[in-house]
Amino acid sequence: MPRNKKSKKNWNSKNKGPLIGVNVILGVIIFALLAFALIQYSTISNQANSIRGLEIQIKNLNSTILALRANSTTVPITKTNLTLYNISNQQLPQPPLSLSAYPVITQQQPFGKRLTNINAPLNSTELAVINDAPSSYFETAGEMLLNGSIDNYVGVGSGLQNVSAFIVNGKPSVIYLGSITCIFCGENRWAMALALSRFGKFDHLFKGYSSFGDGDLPTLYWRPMTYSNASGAIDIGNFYNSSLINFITLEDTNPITQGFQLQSLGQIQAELQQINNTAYSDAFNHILQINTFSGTPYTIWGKYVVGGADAVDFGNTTPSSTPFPLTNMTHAQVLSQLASPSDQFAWTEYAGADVYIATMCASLNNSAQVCALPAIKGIESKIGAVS
Amino acid sequence: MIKFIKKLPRAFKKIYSPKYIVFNVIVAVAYYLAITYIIKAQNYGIVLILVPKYLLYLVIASASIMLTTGVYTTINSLHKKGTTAITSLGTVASLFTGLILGCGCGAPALFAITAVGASLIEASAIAATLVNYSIPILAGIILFNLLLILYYAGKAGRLKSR
Repeated sequence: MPRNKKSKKNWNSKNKGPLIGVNVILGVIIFALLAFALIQYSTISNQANSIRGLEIQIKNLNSTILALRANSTTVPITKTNLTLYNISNQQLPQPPLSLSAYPVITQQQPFGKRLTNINAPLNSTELAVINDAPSSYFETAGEMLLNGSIDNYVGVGSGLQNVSAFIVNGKPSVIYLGSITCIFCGENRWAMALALSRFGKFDHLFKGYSSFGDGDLPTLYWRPMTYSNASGAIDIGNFYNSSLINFITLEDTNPITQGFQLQSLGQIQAELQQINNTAYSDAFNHILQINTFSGTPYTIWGKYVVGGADAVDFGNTTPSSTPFPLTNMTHAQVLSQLASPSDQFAWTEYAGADVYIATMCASLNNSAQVCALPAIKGIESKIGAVS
Repeated sequence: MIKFIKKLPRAFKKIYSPKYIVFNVIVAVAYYLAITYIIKAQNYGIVLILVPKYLLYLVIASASIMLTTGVYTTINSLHKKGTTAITSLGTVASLFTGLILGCGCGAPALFAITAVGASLIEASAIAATLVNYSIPILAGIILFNLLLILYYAGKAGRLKSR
């Protein structure tokens, strides 16, 4: 009774707060702070990457001097434990050509929920589209990128990060950490494959998809994948051969019929220790030491880290939400577009490849033939990749 | 309990005067914009949702109703501090949805915790947990909001409307 009285008194008193009360003000402040923090994050992240790049360059220089003095191939660098890797006489693992527990699915399935031809190897004609793409396509796409006529996003996001190249058997490496369930890995593997074909050849590539929950995009797999492993696994290795570079692939696998999933880096590290391949374990340690991983795909091209996808290419235009045009394309249609590029989708893939090529050319002192393309030189200059 | 449930429609009727309906709609739109912004910020401007869309809409609906009932109760309550704190907690929890759903292939906002001392392996473990358990986490947030709504509705039933 007294409480009611008090309530009534309170209610009838002059204490009439504004309709938009404390909670609303708090809510608005939280919204504003979150939005501000996110915008600031990307700006600061860009600046931090540049500074970190400079720091690492200085450290690399120090470590090179130390390495020369000590005549050692692996030199720990100051307190960050960033190591210069130079691994020799190391056989990179050769994955199986097929996995009986994860067979090719031949059944035709509907777009968005299809695994048709998953793990099927590309035939020689299909493989030639990647391996033998004409240099003119790379040049045209590069020019389009430089003159701003590529509609989709192509770039290096938060900026390039300069690190020490990961050397195996005397060659710098491209290190890839991705996930078969990831949509950006799916769309970006096409560009990666095209870029890598400029420095070597794929003996085999395989048809794959991103997960059902992440676009079900047709993509390439570097090897047959354990696409329905409920507990997750790391599938390593590929069929790439090059006299100039190594290609080290770490692909996290989870059930493809679900959504995006990723094992923690701790789990991946533990699995790699069991595989017991020095090049792969050290490549992963290299990623950990660089300490800029924030999602997949994560790639290191020679002495440059490209965090995230270097192109966002889900079709001629990229809508801001599902469904994506690429979801409704078959592997044959993608390959056909890449064989004779005539639209934004295909040119974006080549432009994305050009960015990767530029980083690798800068790491190889432009010694590969593709590095002579004017567009590649232009992109090198644009993204700040220097030999 | 049955008495409480029977009183709920009356409590909601009391809360939802036209001005509070308008307020609820504005809050729902604001939540939607904030959550999609957070998702886009982490995914190259693309709204990629890890869970069925209806779960996102359920979070937004429950969070906006919770905030509306919370505001109503706060304005009409003597004990503003407690209700303000609990409503704020619900608001932050619901906005956290954006962070979870935006945590797809890339999760730069989450990995930013490495800047405050977490190791890369720890950050990746948090990101992996949020991704792999996104549905149960979202269900938990919805349940939390529902419980708050019931709590506020119960309180509102005992208050005089303004």
